[in-house]
Amino acid sequence: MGRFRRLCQEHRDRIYTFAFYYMGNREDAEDITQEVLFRLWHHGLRMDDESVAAWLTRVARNACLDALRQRSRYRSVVSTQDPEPVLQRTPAVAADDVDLRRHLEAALTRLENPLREIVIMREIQDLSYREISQSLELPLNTVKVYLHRGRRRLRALLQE
Amino acid sequence: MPATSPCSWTQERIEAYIDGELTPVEQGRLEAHAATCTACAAELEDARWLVGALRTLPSLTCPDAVSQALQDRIHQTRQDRWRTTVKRWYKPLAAAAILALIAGHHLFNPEPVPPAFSPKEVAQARRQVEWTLAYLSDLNSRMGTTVRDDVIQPHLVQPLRLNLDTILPVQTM
Repeated sequence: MGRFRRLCQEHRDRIYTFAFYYMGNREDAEDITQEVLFRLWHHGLRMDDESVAAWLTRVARNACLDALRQRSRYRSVVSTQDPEPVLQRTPAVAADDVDLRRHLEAALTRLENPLREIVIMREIQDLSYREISQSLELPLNTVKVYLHRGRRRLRALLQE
Repeated sequence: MPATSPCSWTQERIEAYIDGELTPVEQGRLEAHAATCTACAAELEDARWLVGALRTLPSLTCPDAVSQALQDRIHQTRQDRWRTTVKRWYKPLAAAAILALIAGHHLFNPEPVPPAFSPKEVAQARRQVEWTLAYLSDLNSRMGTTVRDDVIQPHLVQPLRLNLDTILPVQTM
């Protein structure tokens, strides 16, 4: 249990941050963080410490995708609409807005995969290209291409 | 093949420019174009702004409630696992205990079964013991990792089978 506790303390904020920006709300981020750490306890303790970070990111990404799938199934049943439309103004104007953070968060949740996870990991969590490449099992150059595409797409979303 | 316009060329490379991934020649070309084109200059400004804005988004602290809920879930899972193990093994262990009691009784009391039992009762008891032996043997072969086959078979099942005729002799009714 000692090693598990240490790994939880080391990684839980990172997982929570990733899940929050991926899902766009705290409740989902809490559920996903708990699920990811539970899977670490259940399956992951056999791996060495160096591999844990990349493994956790993969599991967190998959847990987010599962949650989104469940949400879309739920929406298809109850026909709810997307929450929080992104503000219709240019980024330059939005920069002065007090709700900037909320608009950026909302725009992030509208980015397609894998652009969303790469933008979060690189620009918010400050992971290196190598770390992202290992976590998502993508070639390094592909990560760069997706990052640039993701930022362009995000700008377009903010300008819609 | 048509030549790419300076604006297209610039806009395709704005993100790489911000990340410092262009060669010095490409960098100079992009900067020279942005200095003369207001549309590309605005695009470059927006791209820079976005990267800056994204980097101001904070890393978050996971609430303590998540750790507490995780601990509760792990505790519950451990309890469930223990219940499953007990549920899986109590039948073979109970059967083994019954057989051990019968075997122990006849080892220390080797007299024949008192004639108080009718041949029908003896036959029925024998069938029950045989059924238990078969059940134990079958369970052991299907799930035999905890109760090892090389213990159960030679030390319990086989001696009991051999002694069954002595313990519960076949009687004519």
